Amino acid sequence: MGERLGYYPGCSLHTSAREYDLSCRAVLKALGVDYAEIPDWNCCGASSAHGAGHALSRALPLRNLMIAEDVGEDLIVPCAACYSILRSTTGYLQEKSAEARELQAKVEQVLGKPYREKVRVTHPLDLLTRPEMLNKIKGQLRTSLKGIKLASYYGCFLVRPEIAAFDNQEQPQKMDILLRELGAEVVRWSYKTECCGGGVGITEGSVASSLVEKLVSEARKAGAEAVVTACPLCQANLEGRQTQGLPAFYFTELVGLALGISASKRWFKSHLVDTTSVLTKVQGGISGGR
Amino acid sequence: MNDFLELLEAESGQPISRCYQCKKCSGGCPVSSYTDIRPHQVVRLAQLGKQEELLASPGIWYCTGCMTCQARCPNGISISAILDVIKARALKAGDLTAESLPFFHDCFLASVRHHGRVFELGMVAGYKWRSKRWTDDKGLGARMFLKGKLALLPNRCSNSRQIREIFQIEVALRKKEGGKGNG
Repeated sequence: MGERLGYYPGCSLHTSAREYDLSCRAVLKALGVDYAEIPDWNCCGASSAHGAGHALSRALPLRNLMIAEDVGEDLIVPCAACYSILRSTTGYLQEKSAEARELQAKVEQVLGKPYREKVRVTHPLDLLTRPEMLNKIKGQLRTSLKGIKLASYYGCFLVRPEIAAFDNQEQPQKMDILLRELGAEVVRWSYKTECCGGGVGITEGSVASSLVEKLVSEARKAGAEAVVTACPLCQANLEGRQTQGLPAFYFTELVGLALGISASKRWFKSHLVDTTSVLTKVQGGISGGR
Repeated sequence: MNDFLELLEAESGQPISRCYQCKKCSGGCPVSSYTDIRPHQVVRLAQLGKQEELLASPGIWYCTGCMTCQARCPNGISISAILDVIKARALKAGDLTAESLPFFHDCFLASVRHHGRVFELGMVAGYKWRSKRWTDDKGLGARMFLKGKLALLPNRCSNSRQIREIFQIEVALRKKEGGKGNG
């Protein structure tokens, strides 16, 4: 990748999903992707801004898009929820309804510059599964995940709403392709895009817990030794609300592990579920590599 | 078309009248087995103009926002967009002390207003204080804290002027449209 890309971590990646941030940055660096965190970004508003009103749920993401335009044409957004919201906002503005134009003018006034509609919101799973990146990954593999059975879990925001989907909405494949490239065996299961209840995790914990237990049981029934996610809300919910001891990895952690990035040992220490059952099966161990 | 349906269609932008009750939405809804009314019933009650029943239903606060209903609807109806309008009206109508989701959204946005970013620990503490649900998930909170997953200090966006002005846009546009809801 020749050009510099912008990087929007979002609130969770600075705190509860630190290992997602660290692993994503390490993988991008190892693959020679030139990226920079966009300066002084703000929260995208998540579901709360939507509840408070339409304008706020578009204005908060728009400020980030405008800042990102000064950094590069692609904006990498690892948090699936932030990704879906930022991407939907570009679509909303593209339609140029009277409401959208009025909102855009107001945010442009606040920032004192125009929105140029130049930025492409991109999820790192989309980036890493482009043919040239898959080839690069293949060429740099240091350890193999051979023999490890994984359930790829896409959740809601990589496939919904339609404008955010870079894969089939009901039967997505990109994470499966990536994990197979790392040597892992990807299990067949019917819960790839079922909601984990993260959105009501804090307010209706018992509902979220029963949704998580169902997902984890189904992954186990399919033979998986771990679930793989691309969303901080899913990951925290899946590891925090289950009683079955099934780890939930970020896909970037596993790419980093397979590329032999030695810092990966530290990422796995911050998991709420013990990951050693899976990590001991990694061929060549995790101590080798760079 | 009754008044309530007309209002809901206008504010949510959703073609509610088109629904012919195929129930795909309820089939895919992750929380439909936990609620008093299911997604297809929300749409039917809306078609019939049953405002009171909808506003009083505890079920409207269970929506996880997963958007499975809208992805599968053959008529292109987003039920979460309809629920956003219903929830906003329920909030305006008054007594919701039994529901904790509005507190959560308030605390979340207060955090964004003050810091420009969400300060998870402060946001959750504020939510527990207001909802009085102190014991929910306390074990999970402690485990996250011990794993270093909860920062003790907020991470800020330094341009507080711009954040303040962005929150004011919402207020300005609402005043102009005479308190129009979201969609």
